[in-house]
Amino acid sequence: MSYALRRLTSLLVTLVVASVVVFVVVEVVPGDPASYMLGLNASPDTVQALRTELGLDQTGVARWFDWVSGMLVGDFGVSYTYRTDVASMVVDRIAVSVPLALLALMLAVLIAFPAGLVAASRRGGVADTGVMGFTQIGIAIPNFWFAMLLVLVFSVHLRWFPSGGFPGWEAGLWPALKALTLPAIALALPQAAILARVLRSSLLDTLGEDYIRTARAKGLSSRAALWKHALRNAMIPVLTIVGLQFSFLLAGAIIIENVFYLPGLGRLVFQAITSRDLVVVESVVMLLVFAVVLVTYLVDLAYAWVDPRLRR
Amino acid sequence: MSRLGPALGTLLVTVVLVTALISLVWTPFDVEQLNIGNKLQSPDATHWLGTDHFGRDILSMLMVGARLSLAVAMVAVGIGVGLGVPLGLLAAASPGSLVDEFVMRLNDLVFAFPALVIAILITAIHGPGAINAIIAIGIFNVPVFARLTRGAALSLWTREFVMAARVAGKGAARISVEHILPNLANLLIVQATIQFSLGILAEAGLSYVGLGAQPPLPSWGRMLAESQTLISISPHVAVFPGLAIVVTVLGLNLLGDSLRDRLDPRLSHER
Amino acid sequence: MSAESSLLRVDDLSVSIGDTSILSSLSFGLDAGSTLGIVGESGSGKSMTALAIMQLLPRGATAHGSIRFDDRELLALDERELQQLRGADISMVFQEPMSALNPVHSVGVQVAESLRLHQGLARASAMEQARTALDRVGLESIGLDRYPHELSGGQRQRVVIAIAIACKPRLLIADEPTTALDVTTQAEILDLLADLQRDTGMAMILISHDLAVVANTADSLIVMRDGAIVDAGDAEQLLSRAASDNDAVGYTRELLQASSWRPSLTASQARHAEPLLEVKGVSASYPVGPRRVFGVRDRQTVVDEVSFVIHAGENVGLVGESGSGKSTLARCLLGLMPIDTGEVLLRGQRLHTPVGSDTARTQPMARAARRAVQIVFQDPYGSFNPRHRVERLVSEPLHLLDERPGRRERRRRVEALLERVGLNPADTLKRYIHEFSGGQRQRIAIARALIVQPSLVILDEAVSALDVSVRAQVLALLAELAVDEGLAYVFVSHDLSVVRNVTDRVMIMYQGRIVESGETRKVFDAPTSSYAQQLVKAIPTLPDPAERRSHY
Repeated sequence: MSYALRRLTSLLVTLVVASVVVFVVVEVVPGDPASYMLGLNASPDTVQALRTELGLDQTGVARWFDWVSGMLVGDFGVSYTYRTDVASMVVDRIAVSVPLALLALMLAVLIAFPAGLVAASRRGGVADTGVMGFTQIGIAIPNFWFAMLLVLVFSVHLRWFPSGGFPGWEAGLWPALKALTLPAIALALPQAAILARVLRSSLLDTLGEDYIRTARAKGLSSRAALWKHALRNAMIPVLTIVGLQFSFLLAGAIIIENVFYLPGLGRLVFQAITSRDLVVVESVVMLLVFAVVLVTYLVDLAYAWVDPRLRR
Repeated sequence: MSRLGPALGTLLVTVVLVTALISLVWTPFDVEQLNIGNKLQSPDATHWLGTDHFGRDILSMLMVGARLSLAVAMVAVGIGVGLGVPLGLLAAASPGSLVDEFVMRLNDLVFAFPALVIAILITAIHGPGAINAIIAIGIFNVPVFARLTRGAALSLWTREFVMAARVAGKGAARISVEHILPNLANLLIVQATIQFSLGILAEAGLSYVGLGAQPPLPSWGRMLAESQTLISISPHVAVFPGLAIVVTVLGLNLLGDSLRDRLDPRLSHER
Repeated sequence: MSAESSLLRVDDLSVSIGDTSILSSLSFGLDAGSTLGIVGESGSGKSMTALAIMQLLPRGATAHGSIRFDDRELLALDERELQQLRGADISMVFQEPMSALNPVHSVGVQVAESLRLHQGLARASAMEQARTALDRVGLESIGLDRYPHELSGGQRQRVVIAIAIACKPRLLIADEPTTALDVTTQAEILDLLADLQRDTGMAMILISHDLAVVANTADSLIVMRDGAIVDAGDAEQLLSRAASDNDAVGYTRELLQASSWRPSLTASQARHAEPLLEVKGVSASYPVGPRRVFGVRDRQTVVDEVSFVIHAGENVGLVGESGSGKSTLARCLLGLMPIDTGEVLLRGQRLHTPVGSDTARTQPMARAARRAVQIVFQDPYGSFNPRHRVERLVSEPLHLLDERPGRRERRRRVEALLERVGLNPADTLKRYIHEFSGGQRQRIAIARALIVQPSLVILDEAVSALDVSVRAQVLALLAELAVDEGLAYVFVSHDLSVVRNVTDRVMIMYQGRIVESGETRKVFDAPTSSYAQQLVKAIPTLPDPAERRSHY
């Protein structure tokens, strides 16, 4: 399938260029990363020690190459502040962030699809007006504020869910999921609102197409025409949004992790910024970029699955 | 809803804008004046929206915060339009060329960096601040406008009126300015409203995690961050800044929707 | 058409959307196995009539009166009963085969769908039946698993017909089934429909804006205008009545004349003195397919070593089906498209030589040369910037003058030209293009082309989008201008009947080459190349009443 290959090449190029950009911003722009990381009071000896540890005596190109080739085999360097392997830290954090983002995406889709379908099929009706009103507000609510309100209601007053923290997956599936429930809802609802609106308008566009008239002329009911002919065509713009949303969810997750004190990538990267641990910042940013690019690629593949015109 | 939307949108946006403008010359209380003895007052006749944990007047802080939010989002949209639209026009003027290829790859690249990630990168090196927030959101806006402009301009280039301009001897630059850009204006205005409201949300998010404006400058996002531990004792401290964000974004979105309905060439009398 | 044997009986049918009346009290009938033709210009309500019979009117439309099909009142049936009828007893074929098929389902699935729905067939046997239906419409070579985008326009329309006939309906409604298709394809599709009707004995309603398209197949005819029937009756009688002057309904006569109209645009043979435009061995190509290593893409030649000469004051037709390269060639003449080989000379001056790049939108072409060749496009709306006023639109080519006139002089010239093309300048100058009708827009387009006093005007399908009556007026204007200004025209068109009537000489293009050229009358009367023969044969013509009578 040459389409899949073509997209793969172009995304690989994007990744390589992105790694150069991250590298330049973090390791070249500040001048001497070692003295930056250690702050003004560091003795020249310590700075020199860190320079050696980071391999700063080498040329930029060589360091970039080392960094990228290291990441390819799972070596993300050693955190300066934690004195541990960045890779193992990141793996622990991913075990929180990725389930959170996926849970939120799943929730968003589960909410958005019925809402969008109902609104489109009863266009102009009470259900449509209701869905559109709710989505309008849903889009306007910042997820971290929504998260605070959820904590106020469901943790402080009702005490159904913990207000923060994460017991770890080893504490059992249920406690872990319980800790992720409110964060996932806070992340999912604004995204669900956007998705429902896109699905509705995309469906309405598709319902105006000639092939829907053909389907009706065949004797399909308007509901059957919507399910069998409109939905799959309407998925094309929806997929784009789902792909974009994943990157918003990832970014949103970083913020939400701070509301709920979840030990995810978001907490890690902010702690790293505070402690000027550039090794960690660099790796986590690259990981986030990789996730976004990967999802973009998956969405591209999904396009081809939905739309035979792209299978070339 | 359809009749209510435009009116409500205009009203909300006007209120926020006017409030922000008034704050330039007058606020009920000085926002830098701390008064610990007066902290966490519930809303009353003196402090309409109550006071925060330093005894500052929340209404005054929201008014000044509006200024910051609007300014950040507006400049970020300006960056997006100012860089994205010319790039998109340039790419569309010679589709398939190296310039086009370059612009598209640049788009792919920036799309891989969510605004928050850009902000993290900048902050990691330069420390936090409102300017960083503007740059991060602005950079994020560039591919949005570049892609939109390129796509719409490409289809305009195939229109016969553009061909007529070429028969009239006009060059690509002139055609882009005289024929392509005016026909994109509606689309760009609508997208600018959307990006504006996204910018408000993004600024709030960045301030919330400490990557935005720094104290003592009041910002909605940071007010929420500071109120987080107090939410069970004094909910009003957390509720009003959040409402301010919701009202602004909701107003902008409603306005954007009604603009789109009014400007959409498919719905207007043009065709 | 007796009421007892009627398959379809429409009585006093009115349709309105809100307060706007779309159709007003239509009454007509159709016997089993016969064909009814509905003719009318755009907006006459002919498509709405079809949708009313299908009971697929747009949202907000309400129908009154009576539509009886097989003694069942369609307006009284509920949605479920209608669904059982649609696709099984009454089927429909639409105008736009490009968009009438769902792009994400294979053609087999789409044909099988109505079989599964109405005959309750299982997937496998429905697919078998779908194969039969596709074979029946001449798509033996098209696999069930092919997708619409892999098929040509004619093939797609065949698929749409296969869907419509799959359940062997008793009534087939074909709404402008060939309007979007090339002329040879049009003839094939019309033949196929006639064939199917003969074999299956179904009744058919054939809707078209072109009297010639329906005249040969219909038993009875309805002429519609502004939502009402203005003329109706037996096809043969109606046509001969309109052809003879006596008590003919004026509008039918107008349509008939428009279909066989001959303006006096052929007075220019004497002026063939100097060659105006010489095209020598010109080829042009487009990049196709994905970008390869180092950004190189395959190229497809669309204009292949074309040579011809146009003399001053001559009317030349450039005819071909879509994809034949005629539009690309027109673009080469205008300098909008780079050429790979050959040269174009204007009055002996080289105006266009090959250049390398394929994408640059700016072509170095001398101003003087650009002034000499102007164009009028097909779409009378799309060829104007909707945001500029007429004064600015018409004066745009003045950009080509070396010394641009001042504001007053510019306005004077625009006013003079608007008047010349039959528009009132005072009314026109300050208005936007959407405020004008199609015919007026095309007059403005002509004014724009003439403002730099060109010697050659390319008319790229310039009258194809106009209704027949308006078309006649615009063609008359062009004829007048040609004589007065000494213009040469190149008529680029797929519409052979227009080209036949208004040109001195014609060139027929096929797959990028000119396969035949010569005096128009000779080419049409006795085409030599096999493609030209096929093309000429496919032109829909009004039957001679006498000849038609001998048919029976």
